[in-house]
Amino acid sequence: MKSRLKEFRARDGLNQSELAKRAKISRQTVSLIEREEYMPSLLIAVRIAKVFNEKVEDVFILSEEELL
Amino acid sequence: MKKFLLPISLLVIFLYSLSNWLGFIKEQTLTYNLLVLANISCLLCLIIASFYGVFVQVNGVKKMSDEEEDERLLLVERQSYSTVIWVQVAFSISFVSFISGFMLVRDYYPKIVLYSICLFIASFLGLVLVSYLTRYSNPNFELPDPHSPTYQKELFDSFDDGEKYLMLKGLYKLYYWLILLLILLGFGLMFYSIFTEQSQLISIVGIGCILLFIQTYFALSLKPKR
Repeated sequence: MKSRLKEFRARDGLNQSELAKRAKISRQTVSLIEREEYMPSLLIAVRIAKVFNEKVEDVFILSEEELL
Repeated sequence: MKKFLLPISLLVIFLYSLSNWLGFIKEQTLTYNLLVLANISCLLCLIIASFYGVFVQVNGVKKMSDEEEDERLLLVERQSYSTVIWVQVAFSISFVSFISGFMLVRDYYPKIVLYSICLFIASFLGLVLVSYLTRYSNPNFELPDPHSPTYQKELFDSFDDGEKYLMLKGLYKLYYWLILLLILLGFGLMFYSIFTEQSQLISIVGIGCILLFIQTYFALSLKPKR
């Protein structure tokens, strides 16, 4: 799974800590998602997408193989 | 500068102990030298940990631009973990040194055992103190009330899914390593018992009990509940 967290953070001028605070998750989790070491749970994915005012599927991109 | 008082004081004690020991190293027994070496190594670990602890405190309050903030927090987190690791190493060394010193040389060199006890207590206090570094490495994290009867549960619940995933990954690897190492230790003690004619049967039975406990405990925790 790929994520566009870095891109959206840059757009909104947020650092990892600020995003974590707004999404009520830890900065470590943000860092793990950005490094593609952790696939977030639905709750975390929705919270992050909400911070960016985007749809979940626009922030987190799943490949065709992952969806099958 | 005040922050460096502890590491520098420890460094002075370390240098004094080292020079003292090196002056008499040839006149002492191997056991004595090994125990002093363990104590000095433990002290060195505590010095490194305390330096890391100071770096965490210094870097933890630095003001950076938004672009550099992520890098700074990552650095603080890494330094915070380094502090924990060095204190844990010191704790383990002092524990072994204290136990073996008490068993082997308590009548001949009680001072060495006393130093080991002091280092053991210092390392234990270090373990307690490093938990306060989370306020620098993870400012949004709130430690639950340590006096709460459900402290362990509250502490576990305060981690989010990402952190729990990271812990689980580490624990899963550790679980298999632990089993493998205990089995190897059991075999090692078996051969040691045969070749030296010093029976380690109680230790082997103890290892067997630990193996039994950790494997059944893990399997039981996975078993579905009614």
